[in-house]
Amino acid sequence: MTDLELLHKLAQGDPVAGRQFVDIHQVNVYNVCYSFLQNKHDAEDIAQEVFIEVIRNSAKFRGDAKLSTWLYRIAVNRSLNHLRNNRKRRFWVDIDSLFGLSAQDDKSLKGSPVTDKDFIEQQEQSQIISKAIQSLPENQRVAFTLNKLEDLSYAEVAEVMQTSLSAVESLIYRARAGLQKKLRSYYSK
Amino acid sequence: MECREAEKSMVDFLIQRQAGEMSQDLLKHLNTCGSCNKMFQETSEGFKQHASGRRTQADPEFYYRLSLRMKNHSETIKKQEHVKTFVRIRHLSPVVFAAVASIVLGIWIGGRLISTVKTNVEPEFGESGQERSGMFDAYAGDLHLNDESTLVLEDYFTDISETENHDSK
Repeated sequence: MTDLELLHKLAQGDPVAGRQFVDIHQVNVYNVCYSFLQNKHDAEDIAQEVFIEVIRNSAKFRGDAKLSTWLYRIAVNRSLNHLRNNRKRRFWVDIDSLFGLSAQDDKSLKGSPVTDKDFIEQQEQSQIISKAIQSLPENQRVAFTLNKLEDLSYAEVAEVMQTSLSAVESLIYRARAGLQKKLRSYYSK
Repeated sequence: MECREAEKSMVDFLIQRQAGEMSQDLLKHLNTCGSCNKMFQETSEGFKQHASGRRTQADPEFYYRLSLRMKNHSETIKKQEHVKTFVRIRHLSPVVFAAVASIVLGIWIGGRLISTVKTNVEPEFGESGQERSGMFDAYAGDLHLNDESTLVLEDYFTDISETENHDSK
């Protein structure tokens, strides 16, 4: 069954189609949200909101773009809205996770023989990269995340961001330059 | 290759995530420069940690949690609709109250004004029925007197004319 057929059945309220649809696209949607939010609970929350919105508006999808593009677009917009709305809250969450006080990224603790010092160092490194990416302007951050972290092609990124291919190339070039500068300045301290 | 150039290349390499395509110059520099090698290791680890929360396979419980949330969401929306209606009524009630009070006040003031105007006009023709009838009687009496006066005058003029006629004969 193609994506459009699945969506059509979803619009008619078929629960089997709904389950199938969610299972197929769950990983991609979750990973996009996680790339922006860097928090498992928030990523799960926003991914659920994305699917709720897709299921509610499934009848309105005209098929003029790929279904995955539509999903990515909704996921990106919801993630960015969540970041904007929770900027202050996220500041304190980042501080807590830097000192290992947050339970959010405890995956590395499960079953791996890491010491507290190693864990803290890993968290620090992760925070450095996250902060460097978060400090990029929004458009650059979106283009960089979709291309470098989600492995979307330039053309796919252009479709998701509803912009031209040359604009995406420019955004990614500038994002890379910005990241290089930030990481170099951090490690040269 | 100098450290500055190596830093730029290694960050670029890590961002690109092309593991098998590190340049020979960079590889050689990393093997010889301890600080750049350390930076490469730390940055590489940072990127790995950045991506560590990503999923590689679907969570079988995700759909169940999603269905539960959609069900709760529908119930929450229904409750919110009731709350919104109540809030709307609360917000509008001062306006409605003011409008009703204005109408009642307007009717009361209008009634008072009309009754005041009637009261001011009526005293010119007598305030009570008894006074009115008394004045009518007095007027009628006056008319009657006038009638009598007219008769007297008629009789007088008749007498005069008879007297003149008699005299002329």
